[in-house]
Amino acid sequence: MVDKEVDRRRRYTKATIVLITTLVFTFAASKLIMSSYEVEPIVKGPSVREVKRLSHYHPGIAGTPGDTDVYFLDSGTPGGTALMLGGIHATEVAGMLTSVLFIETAQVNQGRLIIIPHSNNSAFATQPAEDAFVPVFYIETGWGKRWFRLGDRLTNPVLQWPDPDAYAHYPSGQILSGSEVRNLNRAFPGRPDGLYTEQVAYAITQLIIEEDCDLVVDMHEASAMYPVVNVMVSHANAMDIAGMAAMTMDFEEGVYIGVEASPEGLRGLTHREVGDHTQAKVILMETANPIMDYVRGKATEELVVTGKDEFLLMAAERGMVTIPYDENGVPIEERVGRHSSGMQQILSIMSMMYPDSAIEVEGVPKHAELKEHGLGQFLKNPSDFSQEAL
Amino acid sequence: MANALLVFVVMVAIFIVCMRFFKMPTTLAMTFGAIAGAVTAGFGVPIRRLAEGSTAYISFLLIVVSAAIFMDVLKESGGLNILVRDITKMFYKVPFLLLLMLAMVVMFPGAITGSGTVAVLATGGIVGPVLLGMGIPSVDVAAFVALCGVLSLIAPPVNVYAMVMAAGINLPYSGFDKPLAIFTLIPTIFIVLAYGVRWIKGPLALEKILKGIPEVPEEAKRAAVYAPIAVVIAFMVAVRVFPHSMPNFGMPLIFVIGIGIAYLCGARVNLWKSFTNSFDSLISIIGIMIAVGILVNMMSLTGVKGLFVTTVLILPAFLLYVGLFAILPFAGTFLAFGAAAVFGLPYMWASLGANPVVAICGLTLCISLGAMIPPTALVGKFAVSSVGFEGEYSAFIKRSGWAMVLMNLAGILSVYFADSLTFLL
Repeated sequence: MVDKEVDRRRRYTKATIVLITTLVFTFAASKLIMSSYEVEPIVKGPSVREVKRLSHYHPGIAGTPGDTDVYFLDSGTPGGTALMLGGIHATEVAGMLTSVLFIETAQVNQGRLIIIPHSNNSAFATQPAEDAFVPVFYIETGWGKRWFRLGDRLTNPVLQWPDPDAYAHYPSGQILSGSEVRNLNRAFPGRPDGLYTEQVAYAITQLIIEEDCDLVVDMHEASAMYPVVNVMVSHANAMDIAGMAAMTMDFEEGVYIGVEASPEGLRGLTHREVGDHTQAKVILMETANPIMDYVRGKATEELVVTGKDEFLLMAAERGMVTIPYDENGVPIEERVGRHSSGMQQILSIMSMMYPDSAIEVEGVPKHAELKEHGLGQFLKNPSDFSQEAL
Repeated sequence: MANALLVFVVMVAIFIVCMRFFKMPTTLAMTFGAIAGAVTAGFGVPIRRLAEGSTAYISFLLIVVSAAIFMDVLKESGGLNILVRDITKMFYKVPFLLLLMLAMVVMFPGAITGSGTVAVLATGGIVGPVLLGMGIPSVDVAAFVALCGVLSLIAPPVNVYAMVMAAGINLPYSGFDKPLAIFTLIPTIFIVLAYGVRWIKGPLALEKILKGIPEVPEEAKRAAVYAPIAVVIAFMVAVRVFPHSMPNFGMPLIFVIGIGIAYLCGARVNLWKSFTNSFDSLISIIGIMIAVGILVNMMSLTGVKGLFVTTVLILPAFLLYVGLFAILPFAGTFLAFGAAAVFGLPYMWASLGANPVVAICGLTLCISLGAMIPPTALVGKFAVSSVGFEGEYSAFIKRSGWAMVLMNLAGILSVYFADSLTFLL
């Protein structure tokens, strides 16, 4: 009888300890989780006329962490409309940074530029559990450090869980691994009543249709060992622009970039589905981001910014890396510079080939300027601006 | 590189010290080893990384726990016994066919979910008694179930390793069914012959087999077994067949629905007892999986993961395949499906000349074996417990080892000769 009583008390004590520990961890975790939804401030540049929410195009995502700002840089002069997508994968930060650079510096003289820096916004608030990514990284500027968030390739599972065993893309039915169900760049064209990621894709597709976009440029990064790096992947409807833009980039700026056709059998990607389901011409650009490599050393903020890694260098010396890689790494200036130059060359070539859809942009530093002065030199200090300007 | 090597040495040293001198459980020793590595690499005690890594397998653990409770309820309700008896009566006249059918029964849940653990948990308790009743020693029964569980990981239509690698090289996951079926079926036949048929001497005595299977409780009805299993399978299949109209409940909820139906259809079951029994049997696995998540996250943080991948991939051509032979099963142990990305993808990127479909099939065969290798050994451990093998795990591994080595060798040779095996496509 006494033993039973002692046993009972022990169990209650254990249960109480577990309960208190759980409450403490839940409280601590809730603070961390809420802070992870904070988005880095972006300064509205000279051409920003309006900022809408993505949910404007699909109210189904309104009020959720996946809703995000859409910046309209409008010249007021008739011309074409281009959409820049950054942050479709929140690990691939060069696309998001290039978007910020354009928003803060671009002077649009003809046509419109629409920019979404955090296309899969919820992915910026989470990280893969086994890759030890840093949650934020910093860019050195003339006035101090500016912070940016590094997220996950996939939508935050808090918003879409559990993953199925296998993901069947809509509408093609193509089968992919289950976790790809949260990959925004496998969810296009999306569904209004689909899973969360499909709804975000649907909102972007609707934006492209409703705003009558002539061009969509989707900016990504990949492992330095990935064969499709430093490349433009183009839908058939934009091959002429991509080919000319790549050649001009090489001749004028000495920056080589390859061109590949979007594979017809690979479904759900922007360069396939947006081209097939909307009127827009579509090009996707890839640079290298060594923190995404499995052949890499410590996961640090420096690696995100400098792209320098001793293991990757060893792999490069044995010809296993698909881009030129030496002890200088692949710094963020190189990666953002490639996207910036690529974007500007694409706009310039499109304006030349399709004068009715012309978009003229100036004031944005290209590859050489960024390499010479550093990215931070061109980023604004948010604390110098009023809340309305952010 | 020297720094990462030092970190790895410290991790291993602290792990051994904790196990040997402080007699800590494996889970705690791995966690302390991981923390020591982070401190050595200059990251201090990274609380965030500890918390983050500990969540890596949460989805997976939910499946394991719900599947285990489902099977326990099914067993306690008497339904499992009905099913075992029915299968035996149906196929006992042709032992090879009965064994092949039982192998398929084990593989089916894994083939449609991609989880060998689900396969073994859901079927080990059904298939085990039949095999034992056929006169097969318990260690061979455990090996039979475990190896079929491993093969269920690579069986079509859902081979998660292949999906991960295919996506990583922009290859649509199509055209894999036939080669994966061949990669699964050939080893299955060998397993049936080596661990089953060899023990069958003459015709099977039905009564003797049935005698070894527990009696069906009086109040149990046939619906007790067929309704919950049918519902669980129906949900699994429906999600695959109607992916755009059928809501994805997820495996844990599907098993919970199965538990509810089993409870309603079968004999009265003490649900609380089933929950506690299942947790008692799973708690060490849950601990190990949490510790492995922490360890892998720390290895990523400190560069030790990169050290392993780089060391293997920069080996000369012949040694590369020897290295893959040696490391892929262990990568599967620690990284589970992540091994396909961490080792498989860099290999595929570095050797895109070879036929990628065949090479991926071969790599998945090697990596899947990790599900039987300690410390995690999920498929192996669940197979051992579900069939009631009471010997040491080492004895089980010794018995299964030769088949694992052969399967690993077949996998690596398929990768090496991928271009010559295109007739499999």
